[in-house]
Amino acid sequence: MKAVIAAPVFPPEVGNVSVYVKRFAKELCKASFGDVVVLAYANTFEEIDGVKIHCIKKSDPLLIRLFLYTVKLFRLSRGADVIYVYNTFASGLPAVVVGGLRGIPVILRFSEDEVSQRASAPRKNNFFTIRLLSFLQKRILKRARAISADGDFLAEVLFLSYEVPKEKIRIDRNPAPKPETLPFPPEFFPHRILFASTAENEARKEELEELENSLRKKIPDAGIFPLDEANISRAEKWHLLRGAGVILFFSCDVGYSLYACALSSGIPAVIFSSKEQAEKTLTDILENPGTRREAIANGNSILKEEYSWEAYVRNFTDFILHLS
Amino acid sequence: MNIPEENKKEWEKYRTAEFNDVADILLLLGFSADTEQTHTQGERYLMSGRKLVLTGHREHDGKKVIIKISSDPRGIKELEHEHLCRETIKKIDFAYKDILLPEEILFAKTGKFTVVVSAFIEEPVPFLLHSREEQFFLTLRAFEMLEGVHATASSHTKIIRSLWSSWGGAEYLRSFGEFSENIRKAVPRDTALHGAMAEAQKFLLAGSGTIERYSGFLTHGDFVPHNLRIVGHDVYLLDHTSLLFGNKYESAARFLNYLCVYHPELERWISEYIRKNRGEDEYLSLRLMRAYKMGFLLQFYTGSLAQTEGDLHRLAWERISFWKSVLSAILNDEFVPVETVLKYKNKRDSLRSEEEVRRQKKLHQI
Repeated sequence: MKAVIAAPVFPPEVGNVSVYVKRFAKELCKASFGDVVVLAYANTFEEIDGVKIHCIKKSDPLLIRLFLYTVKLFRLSRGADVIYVYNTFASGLPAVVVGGLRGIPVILRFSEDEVSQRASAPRKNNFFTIRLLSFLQKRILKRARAISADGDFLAEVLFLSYEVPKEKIRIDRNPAPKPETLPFPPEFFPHRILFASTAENEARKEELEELENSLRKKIPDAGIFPLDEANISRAEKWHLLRGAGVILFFSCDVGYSLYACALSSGIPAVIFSSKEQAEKTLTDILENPGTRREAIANGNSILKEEYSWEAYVRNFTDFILHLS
Repeated sequence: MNIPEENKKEWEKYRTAEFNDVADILLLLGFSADTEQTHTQGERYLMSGRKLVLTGHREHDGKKVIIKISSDPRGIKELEHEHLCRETIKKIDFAYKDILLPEEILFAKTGKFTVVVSAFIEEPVPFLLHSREEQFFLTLRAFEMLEGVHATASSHTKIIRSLWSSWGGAEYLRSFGEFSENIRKAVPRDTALHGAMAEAQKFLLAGSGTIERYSGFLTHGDFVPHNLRIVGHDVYLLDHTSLLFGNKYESAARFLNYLCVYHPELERWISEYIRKNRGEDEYLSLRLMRAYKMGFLLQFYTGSLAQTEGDLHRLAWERISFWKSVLSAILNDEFVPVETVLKYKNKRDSLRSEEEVRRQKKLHQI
């Protein structure tokens, strides 16, 4: 089989998309998928054994690089079974054009809503630009054979904002990033509860205080600490995760990337929908070693089934076979 | 009077005259300088640019400030550059994390003087007084802040090109060639040093592709603890004239070269972290940059030989010998032995003037 991965960025460029594109290509190659070709906008790139990487210089003006990318993608996709594109206008547009011309199915990876992100940065884009981008986004999504969304929230965005039929949307969660190795072991606090939230912690402050007070009646040194990912280094995040007794998420605002990290850190990571449920389960995990072991085993199984590269590549390969 | 003494006297004369002249101007602008100014003493006269960096306060509310002032064309240019750096950083809209700089309170030209007044960032606990683990995490936090600014697209270049050129493999190699040439001129008979520099040049040449690959990142050429201010989770960067777009590991290289004297354990931790988590290619990039920065240091100290005498002159030779051994260690992918570092530090401390010891203590906040 042959897959062309059309990406907007590639390492050494920083950011999640860049890291995932490289890892996905590497994992496909490791799984003996067949020919794996990557096309990205980059001035220079990190090499991967067994993967052919092609770049279009980012330093060229926008329209020129868009044209060059499309031409290059057309050439590279000859004989390909699929074009897997990481959604942005710069890679999505050429992918659907080339996919249409060549009759190759295009799977679009939707890991962020670029239009809404641009709309929330008013300095850069005015109202008409956003309208135009929104229109283009709809066209791109319409022409893709399938959309792979990173989570339920983005699936909802696709359905509600871009009118993508539900049967066209697949949910493939980003696999857990590789855990970092630190030069010193974490200090372990068995009764520390890390609270991970994508929303402002202030909003939940009162609820968490109540939960902490109730827990302390049974476990005097139990404490809930917010995990503010934005203000710490990656190394510190792994250090904190590994040193905690439990990592707590509320079902309405789970950051799945952090959840995947929590699962791979070997600490019970639990999602709750109510304070009462949280209190009962937390007490059980903190007090009972058996429940704790069970929670870790459960986490490992979720990690393997939903957040591992093996599962991600297997689902991808099965889907390509299903398409053909 | 010989040249070194003349240089020192000249700096002292400049410092006194400038300090007397600026007092009234500062008052007119609503600021005043503190009476004791350790940053202008000791070995400061060997550093670049004729400008005074003073601590002071704002008259109406007593707010602590840093005042930079100069009437010298080179000093003025540095201050203007710093002002522009600050303005440009604000315009960068492709950063993953905010770059925190102390607020600029005033930029003014009055008479022959250019004055920059910025907020003094109070640091509850200085970097070196944090626990080893905290120092490790703070350092990585600061690295990630800089690495989050990667100028790759033409729209990025448009923002930064008026102020910074972006350094890649060729620029670093050319610059290292200049260091070697200057060292050759300063110490023509030190063949061992020339040999070490030639070896380093070969290393850089072989790794120029790796240097190029990790270029285009915002870096800080003088990334050391005294150019950082830690307030809670925020890491502020000082000395904006040292900001540039270049290799991702230039800041880290400067920092690790500093750590090998002040905190060898942290140096090992960070090196190990980069190697294990970011891969061999990025680790090579770090070593290449460390060798490059070593070349800069060796050039600086060989250049200072002609401007120094007595203990300071002997100290310059000690430094050259020490950094040469660190350079060899880097080229062999080793760490310089702790005993070598201790021996060097003892020798250095015995040769430093009391004035310089005070300046260093203030600088490192210890």
